[in-house]
Amino acid sequence: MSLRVSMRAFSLSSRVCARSGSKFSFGDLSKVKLRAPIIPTHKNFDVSPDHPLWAFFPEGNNTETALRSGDELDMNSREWTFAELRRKSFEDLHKLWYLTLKERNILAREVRLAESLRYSRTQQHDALDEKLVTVQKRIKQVLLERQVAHERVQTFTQQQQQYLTEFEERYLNASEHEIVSFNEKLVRLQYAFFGIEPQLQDYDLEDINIKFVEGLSFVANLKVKRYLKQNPAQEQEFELPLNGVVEELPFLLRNVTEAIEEVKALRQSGESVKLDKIDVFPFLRSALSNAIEQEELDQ
Amino acid sequence: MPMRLRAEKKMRKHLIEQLKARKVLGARIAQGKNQSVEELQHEKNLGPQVFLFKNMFSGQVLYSQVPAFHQDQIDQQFVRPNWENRKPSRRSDLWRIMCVASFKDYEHARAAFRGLVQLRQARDVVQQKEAKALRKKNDDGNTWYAGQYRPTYSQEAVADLAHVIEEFNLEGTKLLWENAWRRGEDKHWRLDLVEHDTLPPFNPRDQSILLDEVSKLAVEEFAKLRQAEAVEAQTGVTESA
Repeated sequence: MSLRVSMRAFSLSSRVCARSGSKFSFGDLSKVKLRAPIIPTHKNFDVSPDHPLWAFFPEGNNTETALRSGDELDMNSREWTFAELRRKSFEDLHKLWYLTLKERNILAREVRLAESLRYSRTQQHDALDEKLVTVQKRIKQVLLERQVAHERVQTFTQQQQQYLTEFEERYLNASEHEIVSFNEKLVRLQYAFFGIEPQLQDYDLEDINIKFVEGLSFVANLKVKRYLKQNPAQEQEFELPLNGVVEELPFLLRNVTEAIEEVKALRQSGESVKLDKIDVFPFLRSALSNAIEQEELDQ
Repeated sequence: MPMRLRAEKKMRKHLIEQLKARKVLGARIAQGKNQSVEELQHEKNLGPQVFLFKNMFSGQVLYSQVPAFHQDQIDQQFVRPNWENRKPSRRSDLWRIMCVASFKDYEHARAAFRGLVQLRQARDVVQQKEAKALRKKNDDGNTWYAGQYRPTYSQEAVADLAHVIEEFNLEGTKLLWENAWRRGEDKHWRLDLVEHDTLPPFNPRDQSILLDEVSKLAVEEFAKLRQAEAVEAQTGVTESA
């Protein structure tokens, strides 16, 4: 009997030991004092003050309130008109589009926040957003107009030819004080009709096409003719027509007198050759890229 | 009904049993409830670590001694499911690693794991009311939630981890957090015992690869430490001699 009691006592005590005796055990779970949940905190890491998400707030990281009331919105503003937008360049329109979009995003975020706070007075936000939508629609419309105009010009080959002939005549007969404005007009014309960029650095060398060659020929001949008309003495020395793109290109890159000198030098050295059709584009590409590099070096 | 031969029926039964037996209930490496030190160290070649996985759907946290999980662990750690604390799914895309705790040795790692499981038992079963009192409530007096997500579960797991480390005095612990903000303020941690760090940024698709790498690093580090200790002991012996 005594043996049995002592055995039971032993087995009980051993079980208790197994339950709570270990160094690494909580023992009786009903006596453990549970801890409160640890709330995450942003203080553990730094956030850049110009975080991109600040673009969704009207004043960036200086914004005071997450949700502006209707009075704080600029309700006296008006949309950009078609007339104003038509005067803007593509770059300006592009910027304007994205400024509008950013503003709309800010408003959309505020309206969404108001929704989740069950704050229903967002009519003014919506009104302002509608104005911005109108601006975006008008920007698209203006761009569409330009695209249509551009495409229509491409189809007017006969009228183009007629216009070019008229322009040539007027250019050749222009007086000395008119020629500056005519030259400016020529720059716009060569861009509109032939896609020849006004600035050398804007040339896309991959995009040189047959139009470009035609334009080059037109511009060079125009300039030569005017020069020879102004200086009849040169007419004997300088023979026309120009011998293909090799002789035409100097007139696009330099002013007329320099170009004439260059062409003369080319003719004397025998480098002025009529290129085969297949060599025209590669020649123009390499010549233009050299010219661009040279210009960059000069700057 | 078409007539079936007895052999056919038998075959069918056999096949169904086979299919049931073949069903994969998680990573085989994580099978079994408690893994012994020998199993972890020698058979599976894993480091002294505990992995905390967070459920993206419900916010619940799963503890594991291996860089993977198994239905066995879910059954072990979510013993009293209710409408607020449902038994989570095994889907591997839902469990995102929250923290990897590396310990000084396997004893500590095992102690931490068992301590965490015990505290989960305390919260879910033994001291249900006390645990509930500590949680943030919504207007209806229920644990705060958005959809099915209850952030309190992962916050409790972090508190339990801090509790275990402090209770058992597990010095030399290194915690790798998926996001530094989860560890909360420093006042909750014994900074003489714990060192915090963050996991490298990873694509959730490659989570298992990341965990394998982390585990491999822990094994190497443990081996290095033991080697250094052995060298130290040897030099100590020679000096005393």
